[in-house]
Amino acid sequence: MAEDKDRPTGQGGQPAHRGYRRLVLFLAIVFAAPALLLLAARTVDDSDAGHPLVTSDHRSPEYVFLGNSLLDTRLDPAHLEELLGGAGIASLAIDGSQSAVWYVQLKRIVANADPSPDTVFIFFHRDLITRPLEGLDRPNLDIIESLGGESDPTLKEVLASARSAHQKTVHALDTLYPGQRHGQATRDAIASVSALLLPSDRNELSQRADTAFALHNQREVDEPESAAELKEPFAESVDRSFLPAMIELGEAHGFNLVFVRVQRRPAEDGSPTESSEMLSYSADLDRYLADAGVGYIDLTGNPSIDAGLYYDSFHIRQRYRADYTELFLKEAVEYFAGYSESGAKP
Amino acid sequence: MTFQTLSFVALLLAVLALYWLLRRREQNILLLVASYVFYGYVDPLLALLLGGFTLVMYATGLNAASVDAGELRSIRRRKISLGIAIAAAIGVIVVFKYLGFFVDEAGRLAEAVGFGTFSNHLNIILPVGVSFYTLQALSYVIDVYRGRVAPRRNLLNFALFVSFFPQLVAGPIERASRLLPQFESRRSIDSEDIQDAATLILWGFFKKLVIADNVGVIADAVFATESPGFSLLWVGVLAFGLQIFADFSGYTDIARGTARLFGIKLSTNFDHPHMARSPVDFWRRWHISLSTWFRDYVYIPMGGSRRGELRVSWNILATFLLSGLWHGAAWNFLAWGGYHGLLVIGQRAFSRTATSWTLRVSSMPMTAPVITFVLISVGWLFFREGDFGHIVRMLGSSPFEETAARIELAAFLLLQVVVYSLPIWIHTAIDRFGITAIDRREAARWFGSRAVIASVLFTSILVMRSASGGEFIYFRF
Repeated sequence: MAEDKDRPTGQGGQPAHRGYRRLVLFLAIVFAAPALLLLAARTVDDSDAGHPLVTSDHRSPEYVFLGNSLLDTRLDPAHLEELLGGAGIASLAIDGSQSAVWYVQLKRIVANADPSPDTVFIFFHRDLITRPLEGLDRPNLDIIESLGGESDPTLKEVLASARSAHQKTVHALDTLYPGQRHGQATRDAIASVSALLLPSDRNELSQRADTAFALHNQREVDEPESAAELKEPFAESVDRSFLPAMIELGEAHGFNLVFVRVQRRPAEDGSPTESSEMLSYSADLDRYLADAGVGYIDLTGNPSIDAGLYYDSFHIRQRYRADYTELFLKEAVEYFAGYSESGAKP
Repeated sequence: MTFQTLSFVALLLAVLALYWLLRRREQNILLLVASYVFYGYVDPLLALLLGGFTLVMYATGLNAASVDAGELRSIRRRKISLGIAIAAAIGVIVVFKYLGFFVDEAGRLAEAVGFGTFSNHLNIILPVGVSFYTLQALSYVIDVYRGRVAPRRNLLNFALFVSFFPQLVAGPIERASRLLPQFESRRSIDSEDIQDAATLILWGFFKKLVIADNVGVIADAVFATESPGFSLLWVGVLAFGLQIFADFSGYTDIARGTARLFGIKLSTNFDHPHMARSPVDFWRRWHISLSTWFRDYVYIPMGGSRRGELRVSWNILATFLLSGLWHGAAWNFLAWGGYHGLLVIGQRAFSRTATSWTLRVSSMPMTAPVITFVLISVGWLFFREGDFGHIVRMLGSSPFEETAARIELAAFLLLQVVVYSLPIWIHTAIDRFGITAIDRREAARWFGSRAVIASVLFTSILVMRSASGGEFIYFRF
């Protein structure tokens, strides 16, 4: 074929083989070396020496709460303890956590507790209880690792069945380049170096930052209200979620489970914040849990929860935490066996 | 599709695998298809809008050219074509970017004067990149009209000029005279180009994922706080200034590196703006492709620096107000533009009236860059905070109300911002000490330092990238 002057040139002056050798070497140094380095530096946290499940005054709890900031801004454990006349309450709320973390907490902490708690309440919103991949990034992966849940066969199985091809590729890359495992340590190191120049120590400064930026110090967010969309119908998602495994854990270890679906901020004009698909999801979930003998409280649409309680679309204002705790107790009183709604144990 | 996604990496590798096997025309077809896939990936309607807009600008470009100079019909036709192009570009921007804002503001005004309650919001979704590609295409038609660029009959090359995916969504806003000839000629690449491009891309990702996203956590926390107080507020503002620079210049580096893999050279958009010696100098270094666009197509046609000081001041202010409004339909962007306009006007007045003493002080090493840095940082408050009432409240916070504990907390956060942004300052220092690009290239050949730098950047991205990183900030505009 005659030479085409339009055809691009592959080399810019130097012998091709030399250029290619350098390029291969460059790519190896840039992309292969970090993988080897990070895999070699990878440490497995096997410090599962035990995570005691105790109340604030170190008693074994009768009632345990799992959830994220939605739980933390809604439930005041000390107030609930008071309302129940001294029942042991432990809240294991972790900001940003989702069902994978709750499953691992349930298996590694709650199920190992001796004595077992009476009831475990799991707070979630929308359809997130059947979306196992939700929130599955750092620091939640770090939490799972720190609880020794990374090698749990059920966790692996559920996540593998829920991941799409794209998500499997991301996971494979994360395994090949386990860099983010060191992310928190690096950020801590930067914070520690910054604190070296200041009189107070790093922990004190971090605590001050946590207080200054705590949720109750934040501005109210005026987010547009819209009906939440359902990702997948309940029947299609339940078997690929942690829900069946959570129920099995409850049965095996003799504690009751109650799932609490909380409401996002209701619209000011009264329009529904739940689509018809989401309402049907909740009804299916209710039936499924009832068949399994598990409790379910759906607080969405509850007329006692008005928009004024919220400071953003999901979180309750700090000053209404106690009110919300009382409201929750009213809705959930049947699950606090042996305690009257008014307080003292009969 | 965005640069940080696997979909983008897959698209890039697939296109590259084919690209260098093809002839020039086929390369352009491939790039055009890739650009439309890139743009229409989330919503194919976006690609339709881009295609329709391209056709309008292509046709008006052809008709805006001077074919038989002096003929009345020709002059009229050219003017009408230019008018259509301007109307189309401004129309697209107004409809998608400003209409909702104008309707909301009109509703508020009507409410204020007692015409009842207006609760209807248009909720128009802004197509990503629309502010960038409209300006780029419009500059082509204006340049054709002015006789500075020859009209292009080849629709393929022109469509690629408007939609070239590495720079489609956030620039740099290229000129036809620079980009079109590159699509019309042979391109070449060698091993050195690929290494340079990969290093530039990794440097861009490092700036975005490590610096911008980590520093952004501090800025976001401060701006989410109801009453941050004086010291925390200004640490937050400073953090945001560094965040937006690392974010936007990081995007530009990725775009330039990606384009270079296809043998295309895009313009430099940033030149160490944090080292600017004056507000005017800042605008020669910050978002260069936008500031030169406004200079060439707004400021100079308004009269530029001629016709007396008052008129010049008005030209400057109007240009900056428009530039602010270009960023978004909100009062805070208008205030940000106005603030910068006033800074530039103030600088002109200062240089006319300054005494020899003040000139001596301002020419001391680092004095001018530090003063400029502080002035520019103040402007970021307007840019970042959309609630005007909150801006006023925050500006009202007094340094005398601060406790020692609070000042120490601000210092703690400030030091973290400094540590995260250290690579930017090192990069600036390297450039400032006069190591030219050619010297660096030689050094790289001898010591393999480029490979080591790229490897360190990649490792740092893997280890230090923020878990809460978001979209590129300029995708909103």
